Amino acid sequence: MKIDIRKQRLIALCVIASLAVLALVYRLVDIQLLHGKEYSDIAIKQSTGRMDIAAERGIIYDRTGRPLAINIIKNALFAQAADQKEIDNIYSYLDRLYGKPSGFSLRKYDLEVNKFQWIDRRLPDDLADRVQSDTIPGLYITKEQARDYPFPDVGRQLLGYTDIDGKGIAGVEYSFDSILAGYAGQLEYLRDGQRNTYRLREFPLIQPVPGNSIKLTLDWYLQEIVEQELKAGVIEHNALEGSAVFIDCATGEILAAADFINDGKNEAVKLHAISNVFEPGSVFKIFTVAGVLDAGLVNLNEKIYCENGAWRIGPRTLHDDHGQGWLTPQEIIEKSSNIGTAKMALRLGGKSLYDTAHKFGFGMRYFIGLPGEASGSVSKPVSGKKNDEWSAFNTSALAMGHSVSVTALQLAAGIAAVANGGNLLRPALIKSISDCSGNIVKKSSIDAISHVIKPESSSLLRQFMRGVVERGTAQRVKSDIVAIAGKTGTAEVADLVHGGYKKNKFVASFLGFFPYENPKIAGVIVLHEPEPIHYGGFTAGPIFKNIAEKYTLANSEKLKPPKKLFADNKNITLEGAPDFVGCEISLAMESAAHNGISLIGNSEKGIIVWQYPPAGKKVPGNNKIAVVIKDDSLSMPILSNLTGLNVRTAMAMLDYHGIVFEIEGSGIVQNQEPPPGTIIDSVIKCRLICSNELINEDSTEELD
Amino acid sequence: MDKKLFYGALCLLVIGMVMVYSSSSVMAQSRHGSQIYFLQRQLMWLIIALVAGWVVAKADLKKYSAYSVPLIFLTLIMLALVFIMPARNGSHRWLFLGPFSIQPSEIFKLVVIYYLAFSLSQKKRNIEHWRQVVFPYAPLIGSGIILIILEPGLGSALTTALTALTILFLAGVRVRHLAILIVPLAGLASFMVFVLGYKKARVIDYLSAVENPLTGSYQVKQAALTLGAGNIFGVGLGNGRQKLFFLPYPHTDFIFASIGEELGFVGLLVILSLFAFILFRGIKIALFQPDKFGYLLAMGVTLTLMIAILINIGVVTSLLPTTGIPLPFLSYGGSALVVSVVSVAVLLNLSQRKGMIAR
Repeated sequence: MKIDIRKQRLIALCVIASLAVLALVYRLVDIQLLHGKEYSDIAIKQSTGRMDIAAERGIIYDRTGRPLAINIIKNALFAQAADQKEIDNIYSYLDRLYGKPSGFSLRKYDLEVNKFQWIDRRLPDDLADRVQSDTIPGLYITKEQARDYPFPDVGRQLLGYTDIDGKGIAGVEYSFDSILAGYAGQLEYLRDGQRNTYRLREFPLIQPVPGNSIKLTLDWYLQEIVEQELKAGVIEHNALEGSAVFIDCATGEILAAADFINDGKNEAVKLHAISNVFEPGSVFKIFTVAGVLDAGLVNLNEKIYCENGAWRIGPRTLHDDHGQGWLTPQEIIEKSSNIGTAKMALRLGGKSLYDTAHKFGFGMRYFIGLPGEASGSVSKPVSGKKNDEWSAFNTSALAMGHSVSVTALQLAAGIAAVANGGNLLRPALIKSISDCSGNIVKKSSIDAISHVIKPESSSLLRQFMRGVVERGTAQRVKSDIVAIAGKTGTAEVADLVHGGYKKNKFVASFLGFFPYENPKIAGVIVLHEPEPIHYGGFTAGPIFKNIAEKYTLANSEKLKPPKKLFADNKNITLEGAPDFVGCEISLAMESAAHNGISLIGNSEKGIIVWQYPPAGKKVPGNNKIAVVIKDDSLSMPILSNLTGLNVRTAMAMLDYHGIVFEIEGSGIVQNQEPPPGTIIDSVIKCRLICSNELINEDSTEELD
Repeated sequence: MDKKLFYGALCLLVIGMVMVYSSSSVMAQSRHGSQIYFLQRQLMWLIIALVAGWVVAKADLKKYSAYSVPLIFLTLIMLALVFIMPARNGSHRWLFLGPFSIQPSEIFKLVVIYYLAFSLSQKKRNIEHWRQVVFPYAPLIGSGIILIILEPGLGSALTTALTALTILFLAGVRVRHLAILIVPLAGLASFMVFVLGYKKARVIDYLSAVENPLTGSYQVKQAALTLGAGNIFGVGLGNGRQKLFFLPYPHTDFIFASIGEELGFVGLLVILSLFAFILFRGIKIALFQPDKFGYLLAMGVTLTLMIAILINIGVVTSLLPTTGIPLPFLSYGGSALVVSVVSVAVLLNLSQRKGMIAR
């Protein structure tokens, strides 16, 4: 009986236990098999994190390849404490680390338990090493990419800055942020239930795309000289501030642009050289006379009466600082006579003068890409009740550079046009853009805006400006090292509050180019309110001279006349095609003829913007180089005569224009359809008929 | 000696060592600067357990069974002494002796079994009479259980109580006499939970977790995720991610989940089979015993293993409310390991007694 009860009870127990085991197994099936996928996903999700991988920011170079903005790796210190004890410990450690009095960190950082917080994202290496070796719980170091400027004191208004997260906030860094930034990648990492991430097992999901690098047109050597001399000049002449812009005459590329603000801080966010407008005064006379000469309204030997310094015009009187009698146009510029300039301008008339100012780029923006570029304005020299009569006095005022507001950049671009034969080129800041492997993805080309004056007028104006330096108001700019030509300006400062002009407040300026014989670099120096000497020829001029001299001494090779345009040695053996891009077609043809090369282009005037074969490449056996000319008298480009070109050259030209074409035969183009002179529009299709029959030299040339 | 039982237990111990290392190495590195910190200690405890087991296996358990009475008083004193020891994780469960820490509650469990086997097999004891049952067991064992509850070590108290009651049940005590013991306990427990609100949150967590483990408390949810992540074949030994501070106690109370993640459902079935095998051998040894003492002692140690296994896995699979009970043979923890090994040693001892009923 007893045994039976025990047995029954044991069986009961075993049944209960078996049921329990069955329940457990069923539960495991439910969790592991039926919900396995769902739970597994949740488990994986909670143990993996995603974070951005910063893309490497593009480098900024100057035109010679000097790196101006680069990336370096910095130590970033952050805190993420597990509890209050760690926080207290971190506070006291930071006080010791930075050598601050106790309690400093407590006030400075607001740490919370389990909350991520940056302490110092630019921790110096020695301190970083200390933190690493001390291993304070809750205090960690990570490596971050940071922007660094190898020339920290040069061109900062141009380059700008990035914020701590690497986003451009000023200057080139800001304007071209989308090019420089690249695209952030993403990585997946393993993390644990506390706060640690296990970067060992990280795997990138999306690789970051590095930003593109930018090569600026700037010459950092010149930029440094300009900044040094500008600073020295502004301080010496006790000016409020100064700006300078230097441009390559042949290409319009900006070589240097700088400000110096004499307030002890010199912290401009915007580049005043492109953002501040002012009345230029006498320097503007160059553009007035350009219009007069180009219209053929004066004889060079003609004497104009300058009224001995006072000339009544309408209800008002014009004055010259030093009264003059009879002067030639050149003497008027050299002595900067207001009356002489006004008389010449009146021959041109208010409308034409107004148009001339616009043709030289005043009153418009070039959109060089930096923030804050100003357009300035040109007032129409009109009067009368309806402002519909051209006013003699207002025309005179405009002729002398009043009632027009300009930027230093506009003056520099305008004088570059005067110096290069009359072509207004859009000032460029970007030379090329390349990807992370150094392949050029975009190359900027010369953008010829318009043909402003004839080459002959340009030549005369250059001569006048040289006279200003040799005999006129800018004799202090005369240099033994480099021949400088230019024009001074001393303008009263317009009073924006009360109207009229401020008493004894002047803008002193100098506008010029060098070397005179072969203009390479054009530039402008502007000083705002120098005291007590306020004449442009005594203040801004010498700054320009110092810059020109220093640059010339360092770059004598670059400033030598190029062989290609002035070579009179016909036996010169060419290594490859000369560089004609940027040249006036007539000058280029003359030079090419010297070398036995003929240029095939689509116009007889204008600037060459493209050539094939490119400079330095082998010239085809028939010695023909195809060029594309930007001719401002034409609204649409026209097709060249392709006959006689080898097929490859003809194809290159059609490609440049984006024309669809088909080719029959090979060798030399014999016939073309449509004929030369056809306007190139989007629907044009071209058909070339070629053969080797007539000219044999190129018979080996095959299509490739 | 029952070699099958010996090898079965050995298998579990080896798996236990491997899994303790796998599930604790990250935490060991992070907290103690050495990946093998917990493994080393567990190996050391294994040696101690084997020595203790060897001694127990060789001793004449019946001859010394009368000593179980002073022994139970000694353990009660130890259970009282824990309260003058510093608390760990908020409870007074350990006696710290130099580098070692032992849990008197684990020892108490074994001693209670020994004592009950001795006491219930005495000819003079008439278990038909309720007084013979309620006294002296209620005050002796009850005071120990109350001390364990006060530690607080509810899980441990529960297993001890369950083990004791089941032994009484197997010994043939009338069910209504057992009820005299159970009803006050159950009443007290209900009162504490529903009136005093003691661990009420845990109970509420538990009820929702039975329905859906993800709605349970943090550790219940993580245990379910850990098991689920393992699926059929597991993520592979050492590849578990949940031990990276997601699953609490991955090497102690929740080692079953850790194994489930790395070795999968299949691995867990192997573990469960090994457990079932050991329990089966234990019951078999009990049935072949020549006397009531042997039967009750064999069943007692088998039961204590079985109850711990069922409750631990029940907790890990969120079928039972969370109680801190280690998994025999596998969990990290010295006292539990010694108890598991000694339990098996008791069975091995009993398996070679003279007068075994040959079948």
